[in-house]
This record gives sequence, structure tokens and C-alpha cells, in this order.
Amino acid sequence: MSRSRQFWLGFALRAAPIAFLFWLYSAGLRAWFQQDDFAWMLLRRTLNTPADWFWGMVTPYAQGTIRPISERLFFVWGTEFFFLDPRPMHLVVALTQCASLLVFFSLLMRLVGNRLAAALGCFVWLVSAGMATPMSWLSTYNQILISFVFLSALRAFILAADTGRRRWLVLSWAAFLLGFGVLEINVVFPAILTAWLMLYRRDLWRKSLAFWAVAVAYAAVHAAWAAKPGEGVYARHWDLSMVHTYLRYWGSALAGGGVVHEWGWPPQSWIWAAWGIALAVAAVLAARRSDSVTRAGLFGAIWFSAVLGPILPLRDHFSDYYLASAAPGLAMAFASAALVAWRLAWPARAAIVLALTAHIALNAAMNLEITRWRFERGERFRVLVEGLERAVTLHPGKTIFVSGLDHELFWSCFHDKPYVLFGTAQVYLFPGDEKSISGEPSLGSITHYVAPAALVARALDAGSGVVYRFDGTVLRNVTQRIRASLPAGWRTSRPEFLDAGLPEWDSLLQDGWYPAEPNRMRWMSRRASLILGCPTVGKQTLFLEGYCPRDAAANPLVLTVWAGKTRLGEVIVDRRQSSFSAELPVPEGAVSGGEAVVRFEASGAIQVPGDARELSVAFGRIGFR
Amino acid sequence: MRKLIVLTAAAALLASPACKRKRHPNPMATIEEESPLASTVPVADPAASSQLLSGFHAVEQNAWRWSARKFSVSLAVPKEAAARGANLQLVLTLPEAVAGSMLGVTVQPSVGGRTLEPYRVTKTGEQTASFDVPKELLNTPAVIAEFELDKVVAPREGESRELGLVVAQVSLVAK
Repeated sequence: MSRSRQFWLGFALRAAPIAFLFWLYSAGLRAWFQQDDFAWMLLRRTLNTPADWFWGMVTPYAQGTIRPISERLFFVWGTEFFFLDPRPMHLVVALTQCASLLVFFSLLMRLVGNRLAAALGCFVWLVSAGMATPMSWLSTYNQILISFVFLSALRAFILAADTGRRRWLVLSWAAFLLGFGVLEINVVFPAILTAWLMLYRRDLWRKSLAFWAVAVAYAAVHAAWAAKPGEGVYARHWDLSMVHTYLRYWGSALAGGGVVHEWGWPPQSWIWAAWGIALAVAAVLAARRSDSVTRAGLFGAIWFSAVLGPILPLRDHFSDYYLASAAPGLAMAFASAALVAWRLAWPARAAIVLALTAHIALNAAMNLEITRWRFERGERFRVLVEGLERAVTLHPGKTIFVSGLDHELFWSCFHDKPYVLFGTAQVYLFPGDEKSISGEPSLGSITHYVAPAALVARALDAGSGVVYRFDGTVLRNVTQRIRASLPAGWRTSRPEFLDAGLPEWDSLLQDGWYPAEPNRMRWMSRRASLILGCPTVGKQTLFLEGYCPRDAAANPLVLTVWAGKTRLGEVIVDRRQSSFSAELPVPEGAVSGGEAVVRFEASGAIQVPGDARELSVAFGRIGFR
Repeated sequence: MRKLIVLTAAAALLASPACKRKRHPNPMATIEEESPLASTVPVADPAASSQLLSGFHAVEQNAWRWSARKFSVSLAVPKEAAARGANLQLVLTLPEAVAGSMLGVTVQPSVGGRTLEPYRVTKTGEQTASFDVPKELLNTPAVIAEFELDKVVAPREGESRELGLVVAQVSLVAK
């Protein structure tokens, strides 16, 4: 073959998987923001000073995660420059995956020495179970980026080993160290590296020791710094269930697992398919145990297992997207098995063709389903969030009540308070709408998202509230219609919680309060009281959210709370923090008769020069739940 | 090749801040209830479009419209304007792109048929032209404010419209 044809063939084999990526994930790469995306978008609003930026990047978030590059900086950049336009962020995802495919192609060329097999490996990785979610949901970009980190760190290390050039080793280290800012599972890279050294270059095994030392140090610091949940879906179970979880991930990776219902197949058929595919690949590789290509298959299986290792204790949080960064290992196994099979007799070829066909058909179909689903739900979220943005712009300062939300719209969008992006927290579900939304205990309570009926009545009567209804394609202002048909009892009812800074509640605030602040909070002097409606059934707590001026010298401030005549307890407010929240249990029978007087007494107060007021704490939301 | 990669990456980083623009909410994202006549008319707001009587081109970037040589708007008269008079305010922009031919353009307003003091646009960029409206013109629930420019950008190849100024908002504010 001429050099020119060689070049163009090589180019085509590298370009084809990239073109396939954009075809397969075209819907996903246009999907709008969803779920955790909104919480990450809000991060930018909290970063104002250098200290905010530092702590904002290193403070462990939910489940003890610290991923400054792949989550925090990624979303800060996107929110700052493109706000509600997710396309530039999707472009970054796609370009990262393109770069990974090129590095993966190069790695496979080094391991199996065949361009067709390398291209096949890239295709198999692209259709792998787990790829659809990170290719369509921006919060899981970490999976795409950590794959790039693993691949580039390993490829650079291999180049350093092959050429002896120091710059490749520096590049490998740079990628490895950056990986700690991408995803915690970066700690498994030394295991991947050691596996390669043991299989291909045992003479260099000592080179992995420094990688191990850094990974162990990171793991120790992370364990000390980031608290891990002891219960719930993110609790870790260090027991035999890890074996089951491991096999389950293998099964899902090999044969999807989510699409057979759509096709009318028996529910367990994907498990049989997974076993069939696994046996076919293993049998082919076993037939040429000593072949250097077979070693690539073994290395792929080790890669897959090593990357999944850290998440195996998460028994109750089985998520397909964890497979995205493990999938290159599976793709390596398939690529090497295909190459080995082609050197064997026809039964081996037939077995691998069947296995590959089943694997690709099941996984590609599932990935297409997932990306379409993510795109379609994203469009609904876009309608809601853009509608809220416009509502906030048209009605500045007014309280917004939203009706017509279903389970998905609430829990995957509204729940993360996207409206705070537009500078308001005064957005509520319309009372009664919560009945069409079933609970999600792992995500918290819906009750404090629902407006008290009394707030709706007072806000609409005062002209300080508007009601919008989500009708599928647009948010429709229905304020006048709702105001005309408000139930009479809403105007006389007492709210079970209130925002102390809303003027609608002035009549419920008794002594000790100052006028509302522009930020919807309200200061109290040393003592204050207010009236709340109280629930008639079930266990109750009184929750408080507020602000206390930082003053380390007078730390802590003690806030004593009563409901009716019952002393509920003391809230110890840490004055080194500016905001506080607390929840106090309400003994049975402590409040009755539909309403209760809640009283506060603070242990101290301050006076600001030029202001005669005695200020203790400022309250936001207060209420029973 | 390496230089090309570095330059591309640097250009991407530098381009990012340039992508930051003042955001305008999607005007199609909500359907508002029929509202009474307003004294402030954001010209891009569909809810207020019925108050744009003549001389406005299509909404651009969800924020503004080009005017023609003559344009007019109906405005509600604020409560206290009949007693104290009002200011007619026109939020306009003279883009750099047309400054060569339009700098120095004069805006001549009239309310209820009476001409007011004109405003001369002597700089580019966004600015607010304010016109004093005597109280005797404001004894009705609503007035029609008309504007006329002494020059425009004539239609040319690729642009068949007559372009005056970029208008964002017209309002009547009680003194």
C-alpha cells in the first residue's frame, strides 16, 4: 500500500469513531441542564472573595466529593460566560471525548498493533453502557474527563518507557496529578499502571512506586477531610455484596440491561446475553493464552475492574455512568479478542462476531434511548426555567407561585432551586400541587417548597404575588383567574411556615421585630415573637433559618425558643459562620388549637455605629414541619 | 503543529470572556395575562407590543427594535402626571456601525399633537433622551407619543429597511 493510502486509511480509521460519536450522541449533546446541574450553576453566586474561591473549590460536597476541575470550575466557567446555554459545555464534553478516542486509538495500536482492531476498540467504547449519561448530562462530565486523564497518563508513561524521554514521564505525572481534581477514582491509576508494567515491562515496575505513594497519600487526606455518609444510598458496604455489585456492573457493561423490556424480551434475557458474550470473549482469548494480543485483553479486564473498585461498596447506588471510565478496559478486551479470533478457525470468528453484534446492538439501542430521554426531559426543564427567568424579570420583587409541575419536573429541576440563578428565592409550588408529586425520601421533603395557602391569598390580594401554570410548552400567567377563585379559608388561615422578611406577614409578627430588609430577611432585637399555624397530626419540628453577624469574640450566641408555653430548647449559633439553621423537636401536645405563639430570646445583641437598633439575629424562614 | 494547538487554546480562553453578553430572557417563555395599558413600554416585550403603534421593526436579541424615521407609541398617563407633569423618556442606542451617517441625528417628539423640545444624539452607545411634557397634555388616561428623526440610514444592498435608532424602551414618568 502506498504511503498516501496508508495515511488516508489511518486518518479514516481515527476519524470514523469521532464521526460516530457525534451521530450516536447528537441528542445528548443538545440536552438542556438537569438535576444537579442547577446546584452547580448556583455555585458561582457564592464565590466573591479569594477565600470563597479557595473554600468553594476544596470543601467536600454531598457524599464527600471534591472535584474542582470536572464539576466546580467546569460549571463556574459555563455559568459565568454562557449562563443558560449548555451548548459550549457540551462542546467541551465532546472535544474531550474526541481527544480520548485519539489517545485510545494510539494506546490500542501500541498494545495490539492493528489499526482495524484499534478502530473497533474505539467504536466499542463509544457504544458501551454508561456512555450515554455523561454524553448528555453535564454533571457527569467527570467520567469523560477522568477517562482522558487515565488514557493520557498511561499513554505518556508508555511513551516514556519506550523512548526513554523524560518529557513523556513529566506529562504522565502532570495528567495523573490533575486527575485528583477530576474524580476521586484517580487513586486507581497506579493499579492500572502496575498492571501494564507487570504484563509488558516488568523491568520498570519500580517506576510505579511513586504513583502509589501519591495515591495512598491522597486517599488518606481525602478520608480525613471528607466525611462519608454512614447511611442512605451513598453508605458504603464493605461486605460480600461487593461481589454481586461487581458482577452486576460486568453484566450491564456487556449487555446493557435496560432495553430488553422495550423489545418484549424476557426480563432476564440480558443476563443470559451477558454471560454468552463474556464466555465467547474469554474462550477466544484463552485459546491463545501466550499471544501478546491476548495480554491486551487481560489488561483491559484489569482496567475495567480497577476503575470500578472504589464504587463497589456503594451497594445501593448502582449507576450506569460509572461504567463510562471503566469501558475502555472492556473495549480493549473486545478489540484483542476480535484480533485473536481472526487468526483462529471459523467457529472462533463466528463466536466473536455474534458476541460483538449482541454487545453493540444491546448497548447502542440503550444509549440511544437514554440520550433521547435526557434530551426530551431537558426541553421541559428549559421551558420551566426560562419561564421562571422571564417571570422574575417581568415581576421583580414579587413572590411567584408555580403550578402544574409533575414528579419529574419537580425532583429533577425545581427541587434544585434554579430560580435562585435569577436572584430570587421567593418561588413556591402552588398549594395542592404537591399531591401530584410522589415523595423521594432520599432527596428530602417537598413540604417547604409548597407555599402556605395564607401566603398565596395575602400576596395575590396585595398584588405582590403572581401565579404561573406550566402547560408543557410555556409558563402561563394565571394570576387573575386564580385570584378570582381562591378558597375563602385561605384568606383567614395561618401559615405553618413563613419568610420573616415578607411584608405579607407583618400582622403575624408580634413584638421585637424591625422592618424587613431588602434581602427578605428581618432582624429581631434581643427578644421577639410571632404567630404560626401548626399542623394537627404527626410528629413536628420547628425549623429556623437565619443570619447572625460574625463575631468570634462573642461566640457562641444562644437562642432560646418557646412554642406556646413549652420551652423547645436552645440553638447554639456559631458566630464564626454567618448563616445558621436549626431544627427543634416539638413535644406532642405542646401546640394545639391551630396556631401557636413562637418566642425567641437571644443571649446577646450588637449595635452598629450610626444605627440605634439592638440586633441579635436576622431570620429568613421559620416554621413547623 | 504544537504552536497551533497552543494558539488555539489561548484563543479559546481569551474568547470566553468576550462571549459574556447582557442576557435577555426569552420573551416567548411565558404567556402573560392581558394587561392594562402601561406607562412604560419595553419595546421587545410581547405583552406591550400592542402599544407600539407604528415605525418599529422586528425584535432583535430579545431586547430592542430598530425604529424607522417616524415611530409612535401609546402610553398610559401615570396617576400624578396630570397634576405635576411628566417626563417622556426614550431609551435609545446609536450603534458604532451607523455612527458615520447618524451621529448628530435629532429626535423630535410630540405628545397629543404638540411638539416638545428636541434631543440631539451627539454620542454613540446607550443613552436616555428625556423630554419635558406639560401637565395640560396629560388630562387623559392615555396619550400617543410620536417621534421623528431628521435623518436615517437609507435602505441599501442586503438591508431593505430604513433604519433610524435602536430603541429599547419608551416611558412616561410623573415628575
